[in-house]
Amino acid sequence: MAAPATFTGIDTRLATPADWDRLAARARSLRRAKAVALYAFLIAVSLPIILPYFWLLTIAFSTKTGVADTLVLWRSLAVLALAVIAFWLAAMLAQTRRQMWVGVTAIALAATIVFARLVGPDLHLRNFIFLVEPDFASIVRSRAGEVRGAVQFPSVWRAFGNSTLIAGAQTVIVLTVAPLAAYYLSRFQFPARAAMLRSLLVLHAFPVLTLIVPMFLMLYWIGLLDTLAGVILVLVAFELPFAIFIMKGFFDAVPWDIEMSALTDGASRRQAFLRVVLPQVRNGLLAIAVFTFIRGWEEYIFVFTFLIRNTNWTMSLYMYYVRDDVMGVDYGVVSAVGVFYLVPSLILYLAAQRYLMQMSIGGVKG
Amino acid sequence: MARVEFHNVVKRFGDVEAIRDMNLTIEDGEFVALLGPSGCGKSTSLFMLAGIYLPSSGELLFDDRVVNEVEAKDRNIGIVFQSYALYPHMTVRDNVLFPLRFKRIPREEALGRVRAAADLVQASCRAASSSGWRSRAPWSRSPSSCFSTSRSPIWTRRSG
Repeated sequence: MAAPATFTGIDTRLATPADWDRLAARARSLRRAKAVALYAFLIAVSLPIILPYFWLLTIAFSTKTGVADTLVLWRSLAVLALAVIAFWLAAMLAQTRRQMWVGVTAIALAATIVFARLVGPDLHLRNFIFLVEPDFASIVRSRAGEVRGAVQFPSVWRAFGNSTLIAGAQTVIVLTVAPLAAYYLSRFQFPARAAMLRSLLVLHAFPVLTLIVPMFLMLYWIGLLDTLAGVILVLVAFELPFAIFIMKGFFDAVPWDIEMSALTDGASRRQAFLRVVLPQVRNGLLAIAVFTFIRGWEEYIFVFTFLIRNTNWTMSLYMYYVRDDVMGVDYGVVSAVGVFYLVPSLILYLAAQRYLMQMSIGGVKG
Repeated sequence: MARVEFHNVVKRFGDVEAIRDMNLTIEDGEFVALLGPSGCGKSTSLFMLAGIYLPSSGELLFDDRVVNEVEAKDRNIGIVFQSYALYPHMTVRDNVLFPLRFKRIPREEALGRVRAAADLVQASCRAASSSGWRSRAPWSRSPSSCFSTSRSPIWTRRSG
């Protein structure tokens, strides 16, 4: 005779349908409460991250010269918050897919209309004047009634080009060197291999800022100070250890058999590497490419130290000098430059997200 | 076909002696199976035969010619690995085509051989890479590279 199953809080032999309903209802409300608590927590911790970006956007598209105004921010935030809550309710209350789509569309439409009525008149693109007018600083200053000479800015496209060049060249070099080095580290035995692996990690842990003075002197001696090539070399040197380490993990996950098989199939070592091994670590290559590019794109300290002429400015330096020159006069332009600076890396991250998610120190599974 | 001879072959990995003084003659057309516990050197012998490992000492002969230093790609040997060692980024057809590409065989003829090899293992090259196919593709890859050669493929089932 089995003991009555009481661990569910109910005697299964004596239970009536009403008892089961009560249990189900309790579980349901518990699940809901947990979900609400979880969402509340997640919203609370993500707000400090989302809010500044949102603010940056609203300032860039709405603020006028000489006015520091947060009205647009609060209005658009209110619309957005209401819309999110409405979406949430719609998703919860909708019984069918069709109902949900109708609800979501209606809410989106309503939110757009309210947004256009409340905020629309304040939105404008004048803060993006720097895209077409290199001497925008003087114009902005004269708008505010200041006549004092402004910093002579290069065209923003020049800075954009420099940043792209630095990040792109850095990516190309890292993508060439890191897989080769990592493959060797992963596949071959040689003296001091373990020490080399350890040193890769130590190099990465090393605060690179401490090297800024010797780096400056070295670049000066070899004549690469104030050149993009010098900065690219320095950035590549700092980026390589980590890239090699990550690539090594990916190569470790490629079985030996595949390579041996390629060799007996008539491939040389080089062909086996290029045609059989490299395609298996494609995700790793993409991951280090994106990370290296974004590191180069956002680089600030080294370009600030090693680049002097304003034709060599990168986007981060451009951003810095814009902030230096017109901050206090026009927050709108500063924010607009920020948005312009932000967009490429955002696009890159979104495009590569799928591959970045698969990256870990251990490489890919499977 | 060819006669394969191991002559006092030794293989060392650092301090470990994986194969000590191996002497073996496989006559032309002979079917030979190597049997033994794991770690006894079956795979090591086969890898030396295929040209993946270099013997530490001794001689490996194909028809009385020493092939110790001959590259794997020049030995004309087929091998099926325990893990199948398929190239996961390629289709089944490309997997089977892979060795033929290195022999500079015209595409038409190569595709014909792929079809013939697929027929041999009774699978269509249009088939998706199902698990059944995964076990057949390497077998068809080996003969596809060997149809052109005088030597029979050497297959190993366990390479652990």
